[in-house]
Amino acid sequence: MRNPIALGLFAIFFTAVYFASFMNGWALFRFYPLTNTFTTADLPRTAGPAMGWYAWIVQGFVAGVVASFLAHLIPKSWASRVWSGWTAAGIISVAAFMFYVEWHWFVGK
Amino acid sequence: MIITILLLLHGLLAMLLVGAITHQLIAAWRNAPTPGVQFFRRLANVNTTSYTNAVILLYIAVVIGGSIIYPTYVIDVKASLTDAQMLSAIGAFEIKEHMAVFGLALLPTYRYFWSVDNSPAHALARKLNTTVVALIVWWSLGVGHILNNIKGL
Repeated sequence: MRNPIALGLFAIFFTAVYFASFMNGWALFRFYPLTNTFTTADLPRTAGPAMGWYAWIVQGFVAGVVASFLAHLIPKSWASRVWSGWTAAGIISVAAFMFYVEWHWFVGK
Repeated sequence: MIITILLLLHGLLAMLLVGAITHQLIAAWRNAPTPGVQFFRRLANVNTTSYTNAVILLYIAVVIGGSIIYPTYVIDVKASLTDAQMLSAIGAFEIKEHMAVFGLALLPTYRYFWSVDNSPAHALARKLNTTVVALIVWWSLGVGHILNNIKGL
């Protein structure tokens, strides 16, 4: 793919949807490491801890791919005016918000 | 035993990745050939573009390795850290798992500005992308190393 706007939207939507999924507990499936099981069902507590990380990645990736396809609808005259560093700036913004959300681990609240 | 070998491989590949991205980062930010001590001149005067594919391949390999050993971390290490009330360590690792995904998402743009369109017009974007990937790699290696010292697999 040679469209920087599409690549940028892929990155931003990937990270944003991944992190939104993490924050809200949206997971199309979960992995239960104790029983080595991938499942869409919520298993009882006896099944051990559930991991949503793999699902969040898949969900973020799919959102990124969809967004990158939609980027082709953006007129080229608009796309050429966009600063090329916006993707990194967007990722830094999501990362800053992530640090804010995760800060509770370090202050014991 | 397999998990221990995988953890070792994961760590070794991460070390290679840190080396590659750090070389590229220093070279990307220098504005002119670096004068002075020979070590620093050699460190900065590398062919920056040649590191791009190596960084991408190593990054993907390290993430795949990490995702394979991650369940063992959840069962063995995270549970111990929770029992010991080492919340900062758990938080640092949680940030690491998010950062690793953010870096994965940024790789196509990172590659674009190094390999497809490396014109001077995009120099700042190239530097920013490389800096973000480098910070993610450094954080991940540092946290992984510290957690392994606290409780290895």
